[in-house]
Parts: sequence; C-alpha cells; structure tokens
Amino acid sequence: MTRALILTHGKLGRALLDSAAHIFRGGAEVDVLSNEDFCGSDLAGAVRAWADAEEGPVFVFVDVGGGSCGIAAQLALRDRPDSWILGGVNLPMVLTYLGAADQLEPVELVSKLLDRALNSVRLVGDESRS
Amino acid sequence: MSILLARIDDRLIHGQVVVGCCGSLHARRVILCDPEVMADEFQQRLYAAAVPPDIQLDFCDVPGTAEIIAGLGEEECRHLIVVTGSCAAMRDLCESCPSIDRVCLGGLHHRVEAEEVWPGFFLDAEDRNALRALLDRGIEVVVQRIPGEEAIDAAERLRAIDSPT
Repeated sequence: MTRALILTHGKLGRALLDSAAHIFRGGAEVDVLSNEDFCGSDLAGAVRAWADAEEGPVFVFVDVGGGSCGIAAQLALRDRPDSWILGGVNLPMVLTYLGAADQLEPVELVSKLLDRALNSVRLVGDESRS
Repeated sequence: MSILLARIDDRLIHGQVVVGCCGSLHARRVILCDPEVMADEFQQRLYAAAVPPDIQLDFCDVPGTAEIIAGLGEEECRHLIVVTGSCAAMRDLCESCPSIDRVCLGGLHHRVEAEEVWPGFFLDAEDRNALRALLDRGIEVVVQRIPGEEAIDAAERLRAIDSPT
C-alpha cells in the first residue's frame, strides 16, 4: 500500500482533501503539508521525516513542480527510488488516488493519476470554440 | 550602476522569484549565489528546471558572483537578479560589489531561534547583524516578497530591535 502527501502553497492541500471528502468517502489515507512558515531546507526535512516514518512507496502531490514545494519534495526524496512526485495536483488527481491507490501498483497508479488529471484540464461545453 | 534586484530568500529560486520577480521585472539573467547549490549538480538541475529557458541561470559562490557582476555592463546589470539564501551571504557579496545599492528581503521563514520581525519574516541575531552591516554601508534594505507589493523600509525596525532601552 502506498502513502501519499499533498504538499502545497498555503491551504490549497487541505482544501483539496476536504473537497475530495465531499465527493468520495473512504479509500486511501492522504496527509497534507503546507509550505507556510517553512524555509526551504526545513520544508525538505519535513517531507523527508514524513516519508521515513513508515516503509513502503510514497506519492507526493505538489501544486507547482518548479516551486518551493516541488523542489523541497525532490530534495527530500532524492535517494528514494520508491517515491513519485506529481506536479499540478488537482481534485481529479486526488480523487483518483483515493479510489485507486489500493488497487494498482505504483507505476500503474502514476499512469492513471496523470491520465485523469491531464484529461480534466480542458474546455468544458462547446469544444468547437477552442 | 545598479543591478535589477538583489534578493535574500531562504527558498532560493521558486515561484515568487520566477513568476513574481523575473516575469514582472523582465530579468534576463539570474545568479543563484549559494555555495551548497554550486557544489551539488542535483540541486542545480532542480533550480534550472524552474527557470524559463530564455533566462540565463548561473550557480556561484560569493566571489564568483562578485566577479561576474564586476564584468557586466550597465545594460546587463539592469536585467540581473542575484539571489542569496541568507543575509550573511548578501552582506559578504555587497562588501565586494559596490554596484548593489539596494537589497530586498524576499523570504526568510521560520527557523529555530529566529524571531518574527515583519509578518512572515523571521530573523536571528546573525541575520540582524548582517542586515545592519548593509545599512551601515549605506545600502537600502527593504522587505518585499514580490514586486508590486508594498516595500517596507527595514532600517527603522532593525535599528530599534537591538538598541538599548
């Protein structure tokens, strides 16, 4: 079973998880960490401590891959081959993880998460206007 | 001849720097002045991936940064952002770079033994000493996360903190 952390600016991660709970109950457990009040090295340390708390594969969802959260996650997990960091976290990605994390191997899960998240970003309604 | 921005930020290069500063100030070059990053190719790849390809990014220590700045012309300086991760590094840089006449505190987050001096900005004794050294050199020090946000003059608050009561 994988573990997951949503690591974002401000309160975005908590809001995503709370919003997901309005749509889907149960499924995998997900933790949340905000970059608020952390300097860069402390944020990476907090992610590392979270990852090292238990054995097994870990997923970290970040809002901006090249931002402080994405960089901290990459620094924290640089020596962990059983970790996956996904940027651009959105509600479909979180919902997919909650529903599928205990059913798929990590590599398959990554593929499904990216597929659902990317396909959710589209013009809604009359697509002929794009 | 001033550089575009001399920024102190313990997160080094991230969204505020790339989008908020480089974008709105039309920077063409960023020097990340940090010896740890300079010695670590993995970290360099992370920060390089965060910066748009049309912006030149250099990884240097303080002497290397000073050397680059000394060799730049006025136009190049006008488009240059320098980022250090600490106040002490910026103080050291300013000692050898007279072209830096203004320093911006962009991000100094919570750390052990650091106190919140402005909302969201935490300084320890070493930070305060370094910033006072900048003020003593006649360098303007402002608190400003991103351009467009109100720039707070740091001098009065800094001098008040450690002055005898």
